Formats: sequence, structure tokens, C-alpha cells
Amino acid sequence: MRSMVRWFLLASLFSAPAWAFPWMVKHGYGSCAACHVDPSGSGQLTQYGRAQADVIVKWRTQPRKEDEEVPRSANFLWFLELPELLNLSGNFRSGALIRPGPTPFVPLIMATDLYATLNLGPIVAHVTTGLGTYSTRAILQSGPAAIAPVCDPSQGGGCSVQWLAREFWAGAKLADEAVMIRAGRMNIPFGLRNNEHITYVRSLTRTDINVQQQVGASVAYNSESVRGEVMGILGNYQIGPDVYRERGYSAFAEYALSNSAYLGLSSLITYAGADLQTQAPTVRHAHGFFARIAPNEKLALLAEADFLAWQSPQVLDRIGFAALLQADLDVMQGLHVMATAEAGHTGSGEPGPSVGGWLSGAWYFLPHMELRIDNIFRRRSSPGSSSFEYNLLVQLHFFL
Amino acid sequence: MYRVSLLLLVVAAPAFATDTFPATIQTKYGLADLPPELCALCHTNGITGSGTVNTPIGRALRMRGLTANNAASLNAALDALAADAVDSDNDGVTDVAELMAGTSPNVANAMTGGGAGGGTGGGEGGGGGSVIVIPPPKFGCGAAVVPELLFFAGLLPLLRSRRRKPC
Repeated sequence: MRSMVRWFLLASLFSAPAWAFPWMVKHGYGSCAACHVDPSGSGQLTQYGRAQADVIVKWRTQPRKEDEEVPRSANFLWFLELPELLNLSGNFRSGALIRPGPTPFVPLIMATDLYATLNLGPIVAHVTTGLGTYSTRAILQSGPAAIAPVCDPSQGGGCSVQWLAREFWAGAKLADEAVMIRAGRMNIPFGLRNNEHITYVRSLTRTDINVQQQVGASVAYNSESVRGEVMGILGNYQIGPDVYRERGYSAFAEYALSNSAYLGLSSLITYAGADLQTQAPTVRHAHGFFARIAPNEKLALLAEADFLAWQSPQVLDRIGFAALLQADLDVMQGLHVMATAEAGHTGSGEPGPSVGGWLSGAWYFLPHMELRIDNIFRRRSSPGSSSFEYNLLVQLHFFL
Repeated sequence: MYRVSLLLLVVAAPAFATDTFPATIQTKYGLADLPPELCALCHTNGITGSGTVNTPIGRALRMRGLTANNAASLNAALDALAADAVDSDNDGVTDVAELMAGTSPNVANAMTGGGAGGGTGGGEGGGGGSVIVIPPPKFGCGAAVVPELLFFAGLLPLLRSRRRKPC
């Protein structure tokens, strides 16, 4: 066990990921498939994506010359050029949560994932693996993505270290790579695939790219003007017993209004015999739209609004919503300032929506490295009360 | 290194449940025994902590003034629950009656009301309560190893066929 932990920590120091950058729309990238292994974006980068991360994302004080070659640092481990057959990378995010209250400083290890993808002609197989913990304080909720050991939070406290596998899927690219059919455990195709996985649009729809992956089969389509994905959800088989598994579908479709404006629709309906939150049989609905607009090369505007409903087998139990508006400004290449407004309502009898505001900065200071700071202000609304909270989240992110 | 790593990975999880609440309920309704999963009555999945009182009866109690660490507020909220004849799981039996009967006020009996699938309660006949039978969720693929094994097993033929091809 000790050597395993050491191996993972050592490996994670040299690994990197790939995250989701919906703001790439400002650089003319409406589709995600060219840069990401996942055709709908987020997670591991392709070789082309790695190069673009160095060319477009990394901090520069001087503009890039047209004839400048992509440096070797864009490769795996900053120097290693891999064969097309094998794509290795990873994702290491660590940081701290600083806030007023009894626990003012909480160290965080958010991700220590290694990624591997085999490209066998049109066949693609993708696996991620890493370490995480399950915490009853909802700070490090990696449990839904855990493989072993089994954690039973009802026995009190949280789990210790767990071995995670967020994604493992195999698929085939068809129609000149415009279509990809996949089966396995993968991200839910819904809405903006944004990094801020605790935003209400991600947490209330349960579609974040942190731990909300599900097993299922999907068909993704990418073209110049349209992209989308439909997934049949079979459930999260890393949660048990079966009564808690949500089954249904999730889908999105996005249309390019122009080279700098994209409008999408999302829809999700699932059923679980016992909802993880309420333990009641629940049909869960989330339907909404999202938009990505780049008024110029410096600014990207991201928006999402979702209608939510929770239905008992016979009655409509609750309705709610989640919404997000984010402006991402390149102060200079590799230095971003983001302002985010969000709201969410769970229909649980709270007097009004919970609202939040984020003021964030991200500095891609070296190849594959990001320093990010988020000031998160939130007024949480719950039945009979509301409370204000502030969190300063500081993260260091190594990625490819 | 190992210890430091674990220290960083494992964030302590202090309990936020009010320890006196189970005894308050037991005393109020003269229950002989406490249900084995009483925390799950109000706390989602039985996980105690700030913001986890989200089960149907938990929300109903909060809407009637329940606050943490305040047994008097629980007493008052339970009285209000009884006065309002709240039936959180819509199975025809009020929450307070279910508490007194030792059944779950959060999960409707699948046999009552002819409800469509998904019910997990036992019992027969209309109007009965529902037995607490849903075990808490577990995280980790001890729940189901089959899909993972199938996936990795499915990769083997791909790799084998690849090796046969000349470079």
C-alpha cells in the first residue's frame, strides 16, 4: 500500500491533464473533438490539443511568431514524444480552501489522475485512474468515482484513500471521425462542460466532470456547424446497491450561429428507485440551454440556464432551476480573469434561490501548469433560513 | 512522506448531528427501540453534517422551525408536523404515525396506492406504513465489479489483434 501511494504521488507530479475550456470559443474553437479525446470535451488532450495548449493557452509576454515551432515541452512529461498509438497524460490538482469559521484552512488534493488512451485506427480505448477520498463534509467527494475500497459513509466519518476510475470507455470513430460511438463510463453530455464543478448548473444537474460520470453508451457528432451527443445512461456501477443507480438519457446539441457564437440545448431524464439525496423513488428532469459567445479575441461569455424537476412516480414533487453567466477575459495570453454569477433553486421550500458570485483568476504560467484563485461568495437559501459564505480557493494544476 | 500524503488526502469529518435528537424522538413517542438507521431519518444517506438534513421529513421539520442543537425546536417541529398531518411520502400514513409505528416516513410503501415502480417497502394492503428497507449507499465498485471487468476484458482482444499485425 505504501509503495502504491508513493508511486501514484510520484506519477502525479509528472502527469497532467487536460481540463475543459469552453472559453476556447474566443480562439475560434467551437468544437472540442480536435483537442480532446472525449469528443464532447474535457479531460485528456490529443496530441494536437497538447500543442494548442502551448501555443494558445500558455502565458506569453511576446506574441507568437507565425513560423515558430511547437516546443518539445508540449509533449508528454514536457519532453517525451509518444507514438500515435498511445496517448498518456494525467491530471494533478491540489490546493487549499481558505474561509472564515472553525476550519479556516483546508488542504485539498482534488485530482491525481493518470490518463491512457489507445488509438487503434478507428478504435479508441480510454482509461483514467487515480486516488481520492470520500468525505462526509463534501469537500473531497470522490466516492462516486471510486473502485476500491468500498466506502460506507453510514458507518460514520469518511473513507480513507480510495482508488478511482472516473472514465473507462471504448469507442469507434466513423464517418471521417465526425461520428463517435462509445460505451463505458464517461462524462454526462449536458450543458457547458465547465471546470467549476461545484457551480449550481453542474451540481444540481449532477453533470459535473469531477465525479458524476455514468456507465452507458453514446453517439457523438461533430461538424463545422453542429455538435452533439446522446447518451443512454445505465447507471453508476461504482455506487450500490442498485436502487440508487440513475437510468435514463442525457443529450445536448449545439449549433454554430457564427464562428464566434454557439447556442445549445440540453436534456436529461433519469429514474432511480432511491434518490441519493432523498432516498425516495425519483424521476429527475433537467432541461435547458447554453450559449458560448466571443465578442472579440479577448473575451468569452458563457451562459447556461436549466429547468429542474423532481418527480415521484405519481406526482411532481419539486421544481427548481440552475443558471450561470460567466465572462472570461484574457488580460494577456495565459492570464485570465473570470467573473461568474450563478443561482440555483431546489424547490425544497426555501424562500428564494441560492445565489453566488465568483471572481477568479487563472495564470498558465508554464507549459502544462496553471495557478488559479477563486473568490467564491454565496448566499445559500434553505427552508427557514439563509446564510452567507465566502471561500477563497487556491489551486495549483499540472496538466498536459 | 506516506503519513504526510495521507494527512493531506484525508480531511477529518467531524459529526454535526445533534446527539440528543434520537432520544428526544424516542421519549416523545415512547418508542421501545430506536430504529437502527435513525440518522437517515433526517440526514440524507445517514450522513450527518451541516446541510445534510434533506430527507423529506427532514425538510418538513426544517420548514417547521427545526434548528440544530435545539431539542425544543425538534419538539415544536414534531408537534407542528402532527398538527399539519404531514405525509411526506404520500402513502396515506402521516409522518408522525409512521414514526410511532417504526416505519419510514420518507419512503412510500410500494403496495399502497398502486404506485408505479421503484418502491422498496415491504408490507401488504393499503394504508400500511413502509418498512425501512433501503440500505445506505456504498461507494466503490464492491457494488458491482462486472462492468469494469467486462470493459478491461474487452480490451484484451483489441490488444491481441493489434500485436498480430506487422509493424
